[in-house]
Amino acid sequence: MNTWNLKDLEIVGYAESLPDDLLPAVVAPIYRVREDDDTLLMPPFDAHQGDKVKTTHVRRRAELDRLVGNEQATGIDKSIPAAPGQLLWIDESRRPHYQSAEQVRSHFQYLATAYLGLAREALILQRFDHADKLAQKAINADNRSLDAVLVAAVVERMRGNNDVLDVLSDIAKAIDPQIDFQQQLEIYLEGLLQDNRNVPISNLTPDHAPSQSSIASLAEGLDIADFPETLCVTSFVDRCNVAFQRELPALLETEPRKFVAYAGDKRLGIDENEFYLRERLAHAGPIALFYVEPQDQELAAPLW
Amino acid sequence: MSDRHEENLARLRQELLHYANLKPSLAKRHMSADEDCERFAAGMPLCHSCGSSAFQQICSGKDTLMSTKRLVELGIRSLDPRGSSRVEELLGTIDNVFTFAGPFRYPYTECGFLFTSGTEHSFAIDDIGNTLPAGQRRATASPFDTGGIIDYLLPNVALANQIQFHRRHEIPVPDYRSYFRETLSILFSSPWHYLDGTGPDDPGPIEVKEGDDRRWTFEVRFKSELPLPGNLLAVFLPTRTARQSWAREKIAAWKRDGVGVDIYVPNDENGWGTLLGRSILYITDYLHKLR
Repeated sequence: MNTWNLKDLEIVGYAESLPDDLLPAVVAPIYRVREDDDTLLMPPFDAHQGDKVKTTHVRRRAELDRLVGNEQATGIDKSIPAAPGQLLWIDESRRPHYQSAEQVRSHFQYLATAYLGLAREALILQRFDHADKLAQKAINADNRSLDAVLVAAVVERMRGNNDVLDVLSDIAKAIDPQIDFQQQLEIYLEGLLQDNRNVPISNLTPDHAPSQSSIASLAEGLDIADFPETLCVTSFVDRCNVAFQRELPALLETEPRKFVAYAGDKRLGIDENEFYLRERLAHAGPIALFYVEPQDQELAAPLW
Repeated sequence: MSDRHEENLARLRQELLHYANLKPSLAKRHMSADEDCERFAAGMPLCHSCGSSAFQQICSGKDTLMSTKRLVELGIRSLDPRGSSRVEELLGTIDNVFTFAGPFRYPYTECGFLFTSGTEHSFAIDDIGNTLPAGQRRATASPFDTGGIIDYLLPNVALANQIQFHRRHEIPVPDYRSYFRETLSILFSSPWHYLDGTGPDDPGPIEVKEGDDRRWTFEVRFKSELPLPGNLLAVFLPTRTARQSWAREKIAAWKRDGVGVDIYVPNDENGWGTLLGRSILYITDYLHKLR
């Protein structure tokens, strides 16, 4: 095995061919020896710390062309002088960056956290595909991000894809072999619901926000019949203080913040996002639903 | 009519046995070869590694590995003379899908497919199940990585001789596995050294003295296309690739079909360093279970 000084090397490519979906990413550099244009050092490197590089994979210049042609590596247009303590990373516009490892790790941690925050907001807003894509960027930045896997699990649970939930459990176990994935998912969901209570509705811009026309239609009084104490039958509501002739999801959309639901004595929320999430995701069991008008009349849990 | 591939196989076996007879230690080792050699040679899976872009293209496309020629025909890849296509054109293998018996070797890339050894059988029979003459089979083996012949294994030899060398070492599938077994029992102090990359402790009679593990890794090439369904043994991929929406659906389907799925956390900063170790562990476990 041969050893080289980093100061004698420059970066001419990296050991991956990444689709857009997997960016940003830290990548392993492919070095060229400065004084010998035809000699490349290929990863994996047995030692890549300090100012030295060790590898058994010493190749000719043509090897990089071959790997690029086979989509196994990527060349970079302008070579970068190698330096100790630096990492190479590729941004979402495919631009290479070479910065101190500390700086890069900090930046990627920031990216992962920021994307996870956005993904969480998107989940609350039921923008599931968007949430999934944002969380993918988080795991691109931090390939040990369990939360990115949990976001995907929320999305797949919404879709009822239990097979895929098993796959996500496998991914989570690759990151943390000791994880109780189901338990982590429940905790994540609980946190999601808690967050939802704390998010002012005025800050939300849901995909399915009620339109002015649907509210106007409702105002004509044709869709809601006021029959107190009559049960409302839907797929998941046991009973309701008002009978409705429209499906609940539509009502939740057109009458935001006028419902409160209880599972036993546990309040589930009053807006469509939270209620919908709880029902679909948490399998909370029998649910009682209340239509509250005006909203401030909801004073305490009902005694059912 | 004689069959070049069968003749090659007979000649290579004869040369190997003759070589062993000239070296008493090798002859003795061959005589005392344990069942591991048989098991390894019969069951050794075939590997094909690829980068993340190619992996995505394979899995979201036809579910098939395709030769460079097919990829170009379908407009999936352009013919890049800098890539492997130059060597493949020279050797006449441009319409082949390349696999290797054993774990993923350099470059290990991030993603990889392992195929069962039984994959070869379906390429050696006709539509009604009759075994085809060796030269008509849709798969061929070589006792080294043919991609390395021109630039690495025989770098200072005239091109015509390099091509001739290649043709003299094409052997039939799946019959080559008997020669593979003899190679393991004669040239390797343990068949495990084929798996873990230690390599043979004797160079053997084939006149290739340069190069690394490409010198002794058996290559199996399939004509045009190698479908994943029915042939896959296992898939290896990093967490971020596995998490992608399309990939997790695919993985769920593979798991339903009994395909092993090995998901790992990559070491981005080092690259290409994880897949080899993961595949060795997987194949070791797989071969143990064949007992």
